[in-house]
Amino acid sequence: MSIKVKDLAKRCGVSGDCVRFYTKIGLLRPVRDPENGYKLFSEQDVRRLKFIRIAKYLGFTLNEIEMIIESHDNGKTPCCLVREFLRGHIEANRKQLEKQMALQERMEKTWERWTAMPDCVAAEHVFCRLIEAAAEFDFLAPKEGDD
Amino acid sequence: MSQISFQVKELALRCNVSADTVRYYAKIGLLQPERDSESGYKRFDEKDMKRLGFIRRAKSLGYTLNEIKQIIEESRKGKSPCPMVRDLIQRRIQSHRHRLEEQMELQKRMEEALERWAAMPDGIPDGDSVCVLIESIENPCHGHREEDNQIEMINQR
Repeated sequence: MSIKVKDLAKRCGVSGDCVRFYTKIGLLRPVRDPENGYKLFSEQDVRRLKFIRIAKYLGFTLNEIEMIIESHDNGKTPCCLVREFLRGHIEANRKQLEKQMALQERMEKTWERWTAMPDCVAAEHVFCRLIEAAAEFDFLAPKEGDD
Repeated sequence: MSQISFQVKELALRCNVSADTVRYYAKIGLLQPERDSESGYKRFDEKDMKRLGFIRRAKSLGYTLNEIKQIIEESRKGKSPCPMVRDLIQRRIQSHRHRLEEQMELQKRMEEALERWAAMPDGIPDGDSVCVLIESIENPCHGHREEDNQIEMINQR
């Protein structure tokens, strides 16, 4: 049984563009219909696409997914790799989350403080009095650093 | 006229940023140093120091460099940038909260998966299954991730 782009997309709950993109980067490998040149997928592609979607849902990158599939195709269990990748993501995402939560808090508190402050009238020697004033906000730790 | 002038490294040191940051801000026009006529080095003055301080403060509040540029331009035109400044942060508070929630959900998903996998042995490769660990996770409901697909594709290109 051969499956067309649209049908594969529908069965896996993704867009046709998504199927075409995964094909373009080699994650899916359809054969060509000799008559019209259309891409034709197999049941194995259905399983593979479902697999890719779950892996994406768990935070794996397409590059990692490629490595996982490759390992499997070479007859090696990819499970060690999978656990290792996930541990890395959990660690990295936790650090990211901490930073982002701190930023969220800074923004919300700042916004609140600003409600009690008037707008600048005209530019004197300041660019924006609101942002300049933030230097004095106690919750903004004097933290500088990398970009 | 200010008399004191600094080179890239001095300004960076005084403002507690990297020299690369100073160079980058100069490159995109956020800082506008003069050139030393003899050596060709960038020369910054106290105004640049203030400006750099302003940029860093705005950045720590989530403003992008593009937005900071607009804020500075607005103020240099003699207009009050404050309405824009308030508007931008209000929008970012919303969108950032949304992103944060998604990121927290992902964190939970990942931690739960790792925990579940701790009790599972590694799989043996066969034709049907790529990785038993990943396949043990419930398939995300069909259809609802359509937009994510689009975004993901744009990001990956």
